[in-house]
Amino acid sequence: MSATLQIWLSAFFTIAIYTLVLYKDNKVFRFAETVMIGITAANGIVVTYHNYIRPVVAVDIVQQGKYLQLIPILIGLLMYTRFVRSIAWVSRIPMGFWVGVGAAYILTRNPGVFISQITASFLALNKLNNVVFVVGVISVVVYFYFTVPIRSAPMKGMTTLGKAFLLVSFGATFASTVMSRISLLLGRLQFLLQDWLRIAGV
Amino acid sequence: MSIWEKLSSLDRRYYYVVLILVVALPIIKPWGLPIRVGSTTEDFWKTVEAVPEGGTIALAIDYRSDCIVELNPQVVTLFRQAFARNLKIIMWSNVDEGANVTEPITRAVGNEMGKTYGVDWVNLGYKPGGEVTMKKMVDNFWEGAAYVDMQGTPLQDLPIMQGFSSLRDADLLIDMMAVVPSPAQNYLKMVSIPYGIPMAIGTTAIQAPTEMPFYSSGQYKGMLAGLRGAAEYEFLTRNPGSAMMGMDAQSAAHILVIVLIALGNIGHMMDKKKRAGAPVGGGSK
Repeated sequence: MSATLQIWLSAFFTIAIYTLVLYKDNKVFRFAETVMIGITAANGIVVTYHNYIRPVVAVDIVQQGKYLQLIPILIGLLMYTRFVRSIAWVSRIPMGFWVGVGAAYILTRNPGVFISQITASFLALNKLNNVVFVVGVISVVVYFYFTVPIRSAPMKGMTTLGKAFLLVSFGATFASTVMSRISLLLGRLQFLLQDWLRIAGV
Repeated sequence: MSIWEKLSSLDRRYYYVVLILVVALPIIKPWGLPIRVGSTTEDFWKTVEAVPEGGTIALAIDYRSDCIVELNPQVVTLFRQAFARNLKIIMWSNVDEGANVTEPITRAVGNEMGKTYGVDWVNLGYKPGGEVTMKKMVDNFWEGAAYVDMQGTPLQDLPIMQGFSSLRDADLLIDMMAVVPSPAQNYLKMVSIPYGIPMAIGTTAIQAPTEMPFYSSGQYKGMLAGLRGAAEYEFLTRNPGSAMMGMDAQSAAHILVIVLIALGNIGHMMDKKKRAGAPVGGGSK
């Protein structure tokens, strides 16, 4: 595809998507949205097949004769029994396998990450940042302590402080979200103004 | 009708148009606002600098085309920094679009800096399977990568892959990511922590707060956060690009958002005050 056609197509689809917010729901927007979903799904299937499934089958199974790898493929194919009501229960086998593997994975791999997080919160209280950090960790942990009702004044104070820390954290997350959303707009405007209309310097 | 009531009842599309204008103007005529480099970006740069000359960076590209504004400049600058130090880059993607969105930009940098594909860098394409593939890449990298690069070239034909049989052979693991659940956290669990491979990440601003605890704890050695992180990285490596150009527009938009939030809150308080002052029952006789 020539670069010019590619740029014009990208410009058309960008503007088509923005018609939803700048105008209202319309056929052009729906067309662009449908094309995007279709292309994304098709791309996923094609790259998975060419980049992974085909070479793995060609090398591992055909060339090297690792026939045991057919077992997970067969287990995976059992998922499709969901489409036949009388044997739909068979699809629970791969699902059960997956849940079991997932649980084992979390139990064996998560502690390493989690323990590092805990040890990282043991800071020397010789800097204001460290004090704020440690107080924040403790107060938020107290806020999520639901085992017994918290009635005493110091503990109530800690939960209030924990709530304040959480609100600050939510504010920071919201601000980051705004930043990312603006970046999306920025990227599309850079494309429209620089590559398509060429009224801004590159 | 007061000014606050008028503002609150204004069609939201007017605000969208103002936002578009505020973002577009600095793109057409940049202001050149100063950039200050933060510690997360500086640590990322230092981590790449710490890789011995001729060493290998394993680079996972885990974002789609929606995040190219924030992450493509990060990848481009990483390639420039790595190639300037004769480091090799082996990249792949755990996300279907990842390899495609970075192929043209990485090839452009490679060609510009006189590097050879297959010798100095390689794009292995999409490798599905999540944690399972990550583990496989540690046990047998070639098997985990399905023996081929993005174009279907066998790995045995690529000089860069000779002697690289496990992720443990990498000097540094970097994940450029913008998907949920976080593949970077999975790389921590499956590769970085168990095998002691230093790890750094680049991510979008929206995901930065989620990943920040792992940087604070030292599990990530460095972190590029959003367009700002990309701009700081470009500034630090003296490679001005699209991120630095975009920061003026980003800053202008932030000022507008702050003003709108302030106006919205003042309007809300005025409305509340007015309601509190109004007589019960809906008005005077």
